[in-house]
Amino acid sequence: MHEGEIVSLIGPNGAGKTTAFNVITGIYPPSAGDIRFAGRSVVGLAPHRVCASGIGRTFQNLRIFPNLSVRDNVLVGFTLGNRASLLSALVRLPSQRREEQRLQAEAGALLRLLGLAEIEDQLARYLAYGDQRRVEIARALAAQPRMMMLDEPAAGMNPAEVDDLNALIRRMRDELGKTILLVEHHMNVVMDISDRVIVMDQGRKIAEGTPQEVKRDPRVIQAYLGSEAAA
Amino acid sequence: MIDLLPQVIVTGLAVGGTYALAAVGVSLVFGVLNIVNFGHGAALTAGAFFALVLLKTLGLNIVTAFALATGGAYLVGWLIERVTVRPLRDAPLLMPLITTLGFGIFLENVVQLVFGPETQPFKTPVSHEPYSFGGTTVTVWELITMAVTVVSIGLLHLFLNRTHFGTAVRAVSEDRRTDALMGLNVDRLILVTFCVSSALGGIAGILSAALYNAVNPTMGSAAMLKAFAASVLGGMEVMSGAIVGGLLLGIAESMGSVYISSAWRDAIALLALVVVLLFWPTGLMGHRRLEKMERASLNVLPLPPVPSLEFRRPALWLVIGVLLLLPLAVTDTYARRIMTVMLVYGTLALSLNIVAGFAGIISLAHAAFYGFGAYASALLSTQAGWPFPACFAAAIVLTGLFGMAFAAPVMRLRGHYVAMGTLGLGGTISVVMLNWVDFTRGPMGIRSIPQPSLFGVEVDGVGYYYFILAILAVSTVLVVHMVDSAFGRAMRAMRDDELGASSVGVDARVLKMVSFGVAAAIAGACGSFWAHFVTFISPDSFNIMESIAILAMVVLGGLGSIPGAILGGALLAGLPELLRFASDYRQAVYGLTMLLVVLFRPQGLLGFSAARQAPGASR
Repeated sequence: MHEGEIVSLIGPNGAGKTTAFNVITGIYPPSAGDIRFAGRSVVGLAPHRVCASGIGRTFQNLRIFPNLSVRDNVLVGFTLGNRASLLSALVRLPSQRREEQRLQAEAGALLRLLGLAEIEDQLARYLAYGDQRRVEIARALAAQPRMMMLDEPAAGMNPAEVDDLNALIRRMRDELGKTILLVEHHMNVVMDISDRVIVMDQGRKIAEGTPQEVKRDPRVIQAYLGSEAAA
Repeated sequence: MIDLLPQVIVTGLAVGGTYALAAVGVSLVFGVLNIVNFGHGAALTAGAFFALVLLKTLGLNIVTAFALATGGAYLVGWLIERVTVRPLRDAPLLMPLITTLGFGIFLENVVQLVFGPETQPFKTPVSHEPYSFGGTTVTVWELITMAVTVVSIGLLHLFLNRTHFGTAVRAVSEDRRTDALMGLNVDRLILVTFCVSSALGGIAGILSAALYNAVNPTMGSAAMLKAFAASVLGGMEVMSGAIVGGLLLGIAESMGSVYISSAWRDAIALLALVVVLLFWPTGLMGHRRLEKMERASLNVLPLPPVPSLEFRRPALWLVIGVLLLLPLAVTDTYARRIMTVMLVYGTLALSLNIVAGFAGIISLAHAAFYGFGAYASALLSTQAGWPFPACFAAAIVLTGLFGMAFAAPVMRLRGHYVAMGTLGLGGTISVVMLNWVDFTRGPMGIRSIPQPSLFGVEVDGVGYYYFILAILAVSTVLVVHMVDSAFGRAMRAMRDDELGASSVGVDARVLKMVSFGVAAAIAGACGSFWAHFVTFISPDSFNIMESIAILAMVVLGGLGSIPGAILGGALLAGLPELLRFASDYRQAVYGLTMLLVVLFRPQGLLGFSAARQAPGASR
């Protein structure tokens, strides 16, 4: 992947897209091979270390904190950026208060960026699905990743929300300078915003190229539609 | 020594058979419902006492009496399911843990009220005369136990494999998300599972009563621990694992009492539990792998907001004022002592709330920290002659470090294995206190611990009250600061979804260590205070029941509610005194309170009431 790129990972169900995500982010160990990010191997790192090395992610089946408010969900994302020690928190030193104010301000900015400011006090569990997805994206952004990995961000969204999502992904790249790796089934999203598309089938990469190239690739058509359509 | 081996194995197999029967019952319920039934011990006790009444009072013949007693245990299972489990079908999984426990304590104490606390002989027409086969002796009861075990397990096997109903039970326990339940009455399936499980527990109870020629009301809870250990050994949801685990445990105990020392016999089950969980976090034969993507937290109710320490609020001043002035109104020495005890438990519950409420780790080991602090302080004072302030400080630091070390094995565990693991670890610590006689003086306890003195002034009378009030106040401020900070947010996030939290850089291991460390340090302060307050400590004050009681206090007050936990601790500690006219009912009231509070106010007295359940909230 190149800095500032939007890459989509597509493929039929069971092709291994989410598994690839989980291997990269340290949830499952790879059976072979190396994963390098920003010049360093991230193989064998625990999930929180992978995050610290600059990779943020969202999950296909949402893993927000249902019993925390929207604001607190985002604030947890700032864990790595928090410079206050536990001891200073226990006795509530002025330095810890200043740090907390700084984090609150940054969280407020993120909430506004994602249009969540109005619902920031609600518990995440009571939000609509599309809002929960945005909370998860905001939370991941709070950890200041260089690369964002989004696992089916458009799942369950209506067309208007999908348009907003497209705009949001572009803004993450253009305004925040993030590199973006996307798993998505919504072809509108994929074809619209990707610089590059990687197609997977049965655990391996079968094609790679610009959206136009991939669309015409016979191997891709075969994987998606079966061999007869390709012939 | 080696020629004793056949004897050791024969004895072990008979005892192990009763463990296996009880453990299969635990695994059956766990497999079907993902619930650890802490009322299982009550079924064991009930089975044994039913048999006692039928044999002795009604004079029935032995076969009829045992069959009817098994039927009685079956009905106890019915009661457990209807009262403690069915009303909570959609509640967080912690809730049935508390209700079954409350019910078990209640039932056990009802038995105690009816039959008295003493151990009674369990006379049967069958002789206890041993038969000898080439140097190895075996009693008729040992043979009967082995035979009944084999037959019961055989019948269970037929039930599970040959009946439609049994097939459904297996289908559910092998894959809880199964759709094979279509057309089956799930309520009935669960009910019958509980009944069968309790009947197996009842048989285990009857057999062990006959084997030892003794019944007493607490035999069930002791055996339940063994059953849990056996079940965990095998991998909780695996029924064959429970059988193997039970037999192994029986043999290990019998070997331990011959080759090591019979005093450590009860420690073997706990040690086995701990060792297995350390190396095989899902048991020896557990096939349900630790699924990292699984959401494993047991309590998912929303937490109440953290109270702010806003000193401009009159309510806060009112509470502080009342607590400060209370000794002026209450001048009776005895009443002041009770108030002091209430504050000790308020502080203990407050500290456990860090772990159980905010970090979401159901710890059944808190009394171990309390005891660790008490013993550390008492030993430093009586053996090393340290002055009180040094003992107190050392107890806090040492217990805090001990808590952090304690967290290391616990954090590899998930779901119910956390409760089991902490139970085993906490139990191990109290067994060490009991049996390491050279160091702790064992069951005799430590006497004549000096009264505390600060800056040359001896603390006594009302001084104790103000001293523990100061500990409580400082602890409250620390806990509020802790949970109302980035650390607290991360803890609550971890409680909701550990993987989600780690994906944004939260290091769960550090959080768990810190939570246990701070909670243990506060408990250590309480322990040190307690040792110098009552001037005598013994292992009884820090056993598993005590840990359970502290958890009950937190649940009663409200998991994750700071004023709630303090109130819950003070109330449950004070309740027996308020009901002094009914001091015999102390434990029964405990159990009943736990049960009723969770049933009617699942969020606890001061817990946060979720206005509505979120759509699709996961368990």
